[in-house]
Amino acid sequence: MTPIATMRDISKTYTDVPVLDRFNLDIAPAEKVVLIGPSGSGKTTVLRTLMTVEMPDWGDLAVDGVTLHFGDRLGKAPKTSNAVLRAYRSKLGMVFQQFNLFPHMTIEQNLVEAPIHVAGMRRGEAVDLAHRLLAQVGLSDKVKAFPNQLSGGQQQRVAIARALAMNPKVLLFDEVTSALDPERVGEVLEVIRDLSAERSVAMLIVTHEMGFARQIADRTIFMEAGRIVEEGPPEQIFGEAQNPRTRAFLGKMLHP
Amino acid sequence: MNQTMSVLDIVVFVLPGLAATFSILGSAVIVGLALAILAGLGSLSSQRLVRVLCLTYIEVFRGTSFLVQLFYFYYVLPLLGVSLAPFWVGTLALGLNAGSYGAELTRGALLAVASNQRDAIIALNIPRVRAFYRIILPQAAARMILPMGNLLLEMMKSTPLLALVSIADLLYRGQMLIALNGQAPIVYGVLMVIYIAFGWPLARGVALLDACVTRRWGGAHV
Amino acid sequence: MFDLEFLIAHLPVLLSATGVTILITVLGMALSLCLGLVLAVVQLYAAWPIARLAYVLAQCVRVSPLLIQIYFVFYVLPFYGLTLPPFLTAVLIIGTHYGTYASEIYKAGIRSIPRSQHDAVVALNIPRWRAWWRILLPQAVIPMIPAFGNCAIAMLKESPLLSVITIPELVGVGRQLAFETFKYTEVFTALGLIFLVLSSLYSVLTRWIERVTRVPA
Ligand SMILES: Nc1ncnc2c1ncn2[C@@H]1O[C@H](COP(=O)(O)OP(=O)(O)O)[C@@H](O)[C@H]1O
Ligand SMILES: [Mg+2]
Repeated sequence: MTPIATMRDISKTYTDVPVLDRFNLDIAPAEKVVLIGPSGSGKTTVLRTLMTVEMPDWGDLAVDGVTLHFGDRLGKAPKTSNAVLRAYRSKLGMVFQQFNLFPHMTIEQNLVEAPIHVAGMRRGEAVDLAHRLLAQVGLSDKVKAFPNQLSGGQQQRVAIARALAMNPKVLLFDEVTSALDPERVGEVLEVIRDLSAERSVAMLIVTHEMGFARQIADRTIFMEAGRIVEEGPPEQIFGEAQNPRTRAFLGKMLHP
Repeated sequence: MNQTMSVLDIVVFVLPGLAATFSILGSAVIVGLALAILAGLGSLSSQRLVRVLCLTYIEVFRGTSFLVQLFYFYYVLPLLGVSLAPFWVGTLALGLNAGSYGAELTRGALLAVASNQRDAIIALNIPRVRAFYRIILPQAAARMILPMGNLLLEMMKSTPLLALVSIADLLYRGQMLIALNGQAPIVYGVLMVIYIAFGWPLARGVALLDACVTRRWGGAHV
Repeated sequence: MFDLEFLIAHLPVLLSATGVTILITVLGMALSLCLGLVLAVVQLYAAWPIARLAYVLAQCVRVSPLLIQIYFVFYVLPFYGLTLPPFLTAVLIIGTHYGTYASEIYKAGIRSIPRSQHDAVVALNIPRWRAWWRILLPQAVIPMIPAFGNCAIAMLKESPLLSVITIPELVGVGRQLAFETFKYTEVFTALGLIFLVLSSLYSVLTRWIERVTRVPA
């Protein structure tokens, strides 16, 4: 099957430190990919460059037929037009560790902002959609609340609903439970699990919750120092990892 | 006038000065606010010339003493062929000075909010113009309540300097009275009380407004 | 039109007046740092009536104009038979005025010490004074440095008001010079430039202090 999202030879350097060097990744439609690896290995950078929150230095990105070229070491590609960039970004959604809700808008306003002003939906329709999504993440009673009146777990569920409202082809999750109190982690993971069961959206998930990773993944990728060390179905990675570094990492994560 | 003027007599005598002080303060606030917004935005412009002009204005007026600026308007401008009425000397000197501080606040607040919300704006694909006035501007405004309120207080506290260039403000009227009756302690005391009577509620009001917005939005200040 | 030779000839006068301005700022800042700490500690930790009184007095000084305070103190003290040298009066007034600003900075800084740090010194059984001196205050003071820097630069720019009580500082001396020679443009331009140089020097200095005192991330 043709992949829904592709990262081809993506390179990214922050002030002299190369974080990604010719990184490649394909995601199939509706596939749930979990990315694990030690802190500082470049997982966040993979997600941020795919979302183009951070522009890659070199390489190509493609999601659902929209392609961005950044050139290679031999020459920079011409600057991507805004229209193409917007078309590309509309295929993706991202949920952040720190929620990143708009603090001065109610939950409903947070949810309808992009559908109305980016996708051009009519207000009534957008509000209906918002209410449906909030019901789905179990927050129907918080429509008129402001973000800071909600717990961290609730804010993160709103952030997930907000990303879903744009009907993306691929959803990116960057350690979305790391900033939460332990007793709030479950409710967020459950929302993601439900979504993965009923929606055809592909997901690229970075997480340190190994049990969750094993449950939800179609494919698990272990990366270290900006490179993919080993990948495969979760049973293989969690059960019989081939690479000693993968085993060492999982050993620490599973039996600390 | 005799030696035993009552406090009430003193207040009545300086009252016209209060009107002058507040009319100049009011018009200077309008000038200053306009400059704060224009120069604050301009300092972030992508046009190099606009940016350099705005940053120069901010640096020059923030970097020099208000008294020097006031003397420049009063003594030097007439020599250059620009003679302004006292009202306009006060308004422009105070407005230009406060505008430079306000512009720096505006600039800082816009930059801080834009960097906080950058990821979410990109991930949701919100267009630049919409993101600016719907997401960045409101949060920047919330952030500016407290510093802008303090700036207003500082402006009010600068108004007595106008007496040094013969503008008939509160202090000027007070000193006229002292010249007549020699009661310096009580006259200056009354002036202090008048300024406190305006300054204290202003400071409290701004703090309350800020607390109110913080309670609702919380993160707007983070 | 613009008489540069005149300026060069009178530069020494202006520069020595600049020295007075800087001296007042340094002494005033030293006073306000001490007074501010006392005011902050009293407001935060003294018994209620005393804390409240300190708060009200500090607020009154903070929200009313420095120029009025200068006149008030300068003309009121002699009325009650107390005459201080003008220079001392000047430092006392400006130091007190900015001391109330400093107390706000100290209060905010002390309040921002995380609860967990207070818990930690208790849990480690560190004596109270040592805890404040070695652990709590240092982490509160470093974030305050930029605010104190702003305070000092504001004081520098407001110190010309002291010329009304005969202090021979920069702007007063400059204005006198302009009156005598009618070289208004030259003198006031020079005053502006001197202030610009001083405030840029100052921001270089504070940036350096911030860099030196920064806790490595
Ligand atoms: N904005 C940045 N500036 C400089 N270095 C960065 C930046 N973001 C990430 N890095 C560096 O890139 C490396 C990979 O970071 P990251 O992608 O966040 O890893 P992970 O998410 O796996 O912990 C780290 O060494 C980090 O220090
Ligand atoms: Mg990360």
